[in-house]
Parts: sequence; C-alpha cells; structure tokens
Amino acid sequence: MIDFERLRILTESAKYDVSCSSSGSSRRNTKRGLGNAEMGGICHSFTEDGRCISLLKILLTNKCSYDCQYCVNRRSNDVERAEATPEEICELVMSFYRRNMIEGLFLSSAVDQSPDATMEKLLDTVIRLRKLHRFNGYIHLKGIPSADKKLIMRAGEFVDRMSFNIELPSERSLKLLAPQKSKVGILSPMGYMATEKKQALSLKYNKFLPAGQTTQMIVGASPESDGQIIRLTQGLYKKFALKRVYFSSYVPTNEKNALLPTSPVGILREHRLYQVDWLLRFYGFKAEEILDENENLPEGYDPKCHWALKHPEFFPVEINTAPAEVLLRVPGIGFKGAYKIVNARRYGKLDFLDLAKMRIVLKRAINFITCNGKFFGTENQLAVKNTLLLTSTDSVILSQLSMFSNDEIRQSVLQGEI
Amino acid sequence: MITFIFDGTKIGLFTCVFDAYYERRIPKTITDKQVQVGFYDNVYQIETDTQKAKRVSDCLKNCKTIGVLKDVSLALKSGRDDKFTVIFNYVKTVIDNKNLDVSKNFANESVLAFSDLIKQITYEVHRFKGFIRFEESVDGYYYAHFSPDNDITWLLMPHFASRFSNQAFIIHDVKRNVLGMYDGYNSAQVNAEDRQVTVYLSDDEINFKKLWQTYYKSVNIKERKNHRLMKNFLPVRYWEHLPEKQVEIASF
Repeated sequence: MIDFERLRILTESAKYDVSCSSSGSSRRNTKRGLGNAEMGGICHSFTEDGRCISLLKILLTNKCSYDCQYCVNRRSNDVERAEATPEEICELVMSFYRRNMIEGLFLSSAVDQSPDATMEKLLDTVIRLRKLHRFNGYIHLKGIPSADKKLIMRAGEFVDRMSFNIELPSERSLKLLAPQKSKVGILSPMGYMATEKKQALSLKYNKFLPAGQTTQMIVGASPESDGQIIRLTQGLYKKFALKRVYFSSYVPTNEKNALLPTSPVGILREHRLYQVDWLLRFYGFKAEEILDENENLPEGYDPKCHWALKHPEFFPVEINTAPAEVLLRVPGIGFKGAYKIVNARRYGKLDFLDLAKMRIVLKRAINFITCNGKFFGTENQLAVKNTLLLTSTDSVILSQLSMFSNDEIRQSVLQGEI
Repeated sequence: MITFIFDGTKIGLFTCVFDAYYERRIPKTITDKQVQVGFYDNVYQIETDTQKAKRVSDCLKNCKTIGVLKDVSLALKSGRDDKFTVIFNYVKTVIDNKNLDVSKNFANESVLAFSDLIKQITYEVHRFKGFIRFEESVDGYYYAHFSPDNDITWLLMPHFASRFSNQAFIIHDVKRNVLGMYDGYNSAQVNAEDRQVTVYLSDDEINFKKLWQTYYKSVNIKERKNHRLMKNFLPVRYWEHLPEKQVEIASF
C-alpha cells in the first residue's frame, strides 16, 4: 500500500487540475465486478476551498522532464518528488472505492522520460484496474500530449473520459511558457478522438469514451483577453464536441518568475468566464453576442445582465407568452425558473405574485418582464444597472453626485435620469 | 381551525382525506402527534379505515395526475413535521382537479410545497449516495452509520446494492435506529428499535481512515479557501459521520 508521504506529494501535485466531475457515463457493473458510474455524477466530499471531491485525483509521478513555467511540477522547481507504481494506485482506488469515499479515479502524470513511456504507464494502470480488479467505476484519464496515437486510442476503450489540457489560450503563450509542448501535440489527439467518438456513436457503440472529452486552460498567466478565451472556448465546443472547458485562475507556484504575474489573479475573472461558459452551453448564447467592442468582460455585472443592459430593444418580455429560450435571457430567470414558468402558465395566466411564489428573483427580473402586459419596473437605465450591480453587501448603493463620481453616473445626471 | 390527528400511516392519511370530503370538514393541519389545542380549535381523532382508504386510492388512480400514490409513499419518508399537511393539500388539489394533470402547476401553493417536499428527499438521497462512508468489519462486511433528515435508508439500498453487488454491507440510520442490509444477493430493512448495534471494525480500518484524511487535506488549495461554499455543499450536521471531518471536530 502507498504510504502517507507519497500520497500527500502526489495529490498536492495533482490538485491544480480543476476537473473532478464524475458525470456523463452510465457504465454498468459486471457480474463479479465492483462499481458502476452514475449519469449525473456524485460528489463524495467537499474540501475547504469549496471544491467537490468526486474522484481520487492523483499523479503517477511528479518527476517531470518538462519545464512549463506556470506548473508546480516543472523540472526547475524545488519541490518534493515521488512516484507510485500502477499497482499501488489500483489498490488505493479499490480500497477507497469500497468505502464509498470516491466515485472513481482521475489519473494524470508528469512527463517522465518520454511522452510514450508515460502514456504507457497510465494505460497500464487503467487496464489493470478494469481487467485485473474488475473495477467498473468512473475513470478520467489525462492524455499526455504528443504520445503515440495507438496508446491514446487504446486508453479511450477503457476510460470514461479523457482530457488533454490546452494549458494556455494562445499558441504564442504556449511557446513562451511551455516550450516543450506544442499546439499540434495537444490538439491533434483531441481531434482524432472526437472523430472516433463520432463514428462510434453513429454505430451505436457507446464504450469509447462514454463521457467524452474535456480540457482546461489557465487564466491570467498570459495576456490573452476574455474575448480570445471565449471565442476559443466556443470553437473547442464546436470542433471537438467537448463536454466541458475548465478555467483555472493562475496561482503563483514558488519562486518569482519574470514571465508570470507575482500575485494570484482573483477568482472573479474565472467566475465570469464560467458564467459565459454556461451561457454558451445551456442558454443559447453565442460568443459574438456576449462580447462587445470591449474584449473584456465587465467585472461588476454578470455576462447575462451585461447583455440584457446592452439590448433594451429585446425587453420587456411577456412572461405568459415568451418562448423558453427567450425567458432564459432574462436576468433573474435561470433554468429552473424557466422550467417552472413554462409549465405553470399552461394552467392559467401568471402574475408577479405567482413568480414570487416560484422563487423567481424579481429584484433582478422586474425591469425586464411584463405579466399580462403590466410592467412594474423602471425605465431609468441607471437604476436598472444598480439593481444588477455586484456589491459586497448585496445592497444597492446609490451615491450622491460628487466631483469623483464615475463617468457613468455623471452622464446619466446630464441626461436627467437621476 | 380544524386539526386531524391520526396514526401516521399511508392508510390513515387516506382515511383523513376521505373523512374530510365526506364530512365536508377541511383540516388546516394533520398530525400524528398529540398537539396543544387552542381555544377555538376543533380537533378530530381519525380512526384508520382500510375501506375508506381504498376508495381514496382508487379515486387517485382515476385522476389525470399520474404517479400520485408513488409520490405520496415517497413524501411520507420526509422528516418534516408538516409533511402530512403538505401531502393532504396536494392530494386534495389532485382530486379537486380530477381531469387535469396538476403535477407541474407550480403557481399553485400546494403543488409547489409538495414538489419542494419531494425534492428535499430526493436531494438528500442523492447527497448520501456520496456521503455514506463504509468501514470494514472483522467479519468482512462493510458497515456505515449516518443520520439523515429524512427516512431514506431503503431508498439508498438499490444504489449500493448494484454498485457493491458482491460486497455484503449494512447502512445504519443512527437517528431512527434502522438498518438496511445487503448480503450479496438480497436487501432487507430491519428496525432495531431500542436495541444497541455493535460493530467490531477490522484492524486495518484506522490506516485507511488516515490515508483518506491525508488525501482530503492535500487536495485542498489553500489560496482559494472558501469555507462558506464548503459548508453549503457539506452541511455541518453531516460531519459527525465523515472521517475526513473528524480531525476538525476533535480540534473544536
């Protein structure tokens, strides 16, 4: 069995990988096997940072021959090194799984020696788990860029999900910060796996990567704008049919580096990008709609509110007749809200009281909707903005005009809105 | 204000529904406990009657809203005190709108309240699919203790039985002293009532517990601490039964 010390080192090296979801696969248990996967995924615990623990997230080794500037495990970084054998990982997975501590394994590795040697070891671990230990739980495998195509494709037959990390939002930054990695090395396996998956699905064969592919990129380590990141994300969803794109805001890892920012990038930017990600995947938005001439997302509003404020011609929306995809564009109405509204209005006309009962956030929605033609919001743009603004105490701050008021407020005073 | 008191069973509850319609007496609250009575309150003791209950369940089968009987059985697992009232109001809404599927009329208060009640139960079931922790006993079976808000032991059994199909296990609801057992082939639920349940754990268990605690601590990113979010997802009332949280409880 693996000892505490190595478990600690290998986990601490793996923790910066964001993805921990165990959803998307409904792998069944076999006759004398252990485990299954649940379509919706299951969280088994939550760490102090509020992230869920669903999979045992671990590296085979953190001895790396690469020197990616943003990474804790880079060759030039002075950290403790350790490695585990495939069998040790298997044992750990089995005993954690039997105790219902995890939903499966998230396995990754530093590139020790060559990409092929590393990928071979990862594949070995996965096959052991499936064949020798008859493990049918969830496995998410990190692909090693530039590894042999045959190894990668074979892994796809055994695991539920695979992911190659894009790492940085542009080729230029990748060259600068991760000189040993290449765009081709990362994107080409994503490409041929997507093609294979598409073919498999058309043949109704669902054993090749049942939970598809994901990827991850670091935000804030390089100078790309939100616009670039969002367009890239949309492109990735379209081209590779990815299940998720993860963003991780950059956290400085040891030593100062002239190429990288010295302080952690706030989580707010990452949060806003995830909001956009949701808009792209579930709310029917396109990247071009969300972005304006100003390339970066506003920090004060969430992107959906930002869009709503920019498109007064779209509102107000009539609750009793608007189609679901229109309701989804109203600030304060989310997926559950739209579902409730669409169902409830079949029985009769809804009014504001009904919406309040259904727990629609009227504070946000009121300026964008009508119920039976009635409008109770305000046309005053500044007041609308203020109700949507992110404030630390969640209360609306209406300030008196002073010499130091910002442009927005000054403008609105000139136009007689206050 | 009218209050019905009954025995807390499904049949009893349907008898309440029958009596309410038959006597044209609509209760404000329904309970299975003795309640303090106010001056203007009318309290009725409802005698459970299988015949009356059958007429109600037959009626529900003929209503346009489907799955009511199943939903009511599920809702009765709730640990909330007002569950009988919520279920009664929903059943009444269903019968009053016989020719309409009311299950998704979320603008109706009783439908919304009932759907919330069901959601609380199914959400807790989903949570405990993750939060149950097994320990190996000296006899080789796996034992887990937990104390859920709702009576969900039986609802969890199919999930674990298919997942650990050849692993004998026991799930023990400490609050209600109810055990769900699986021997590798069949599941059964046992009510231990006031008997003490003792389990002898295997010697290796402490080692696995420590490994898990090590993992839990290491996978956390200190720079991103967000205690409130963690507590939202993992409420403090569940901590008692989670090995990874034992260290913290000890240090309080």
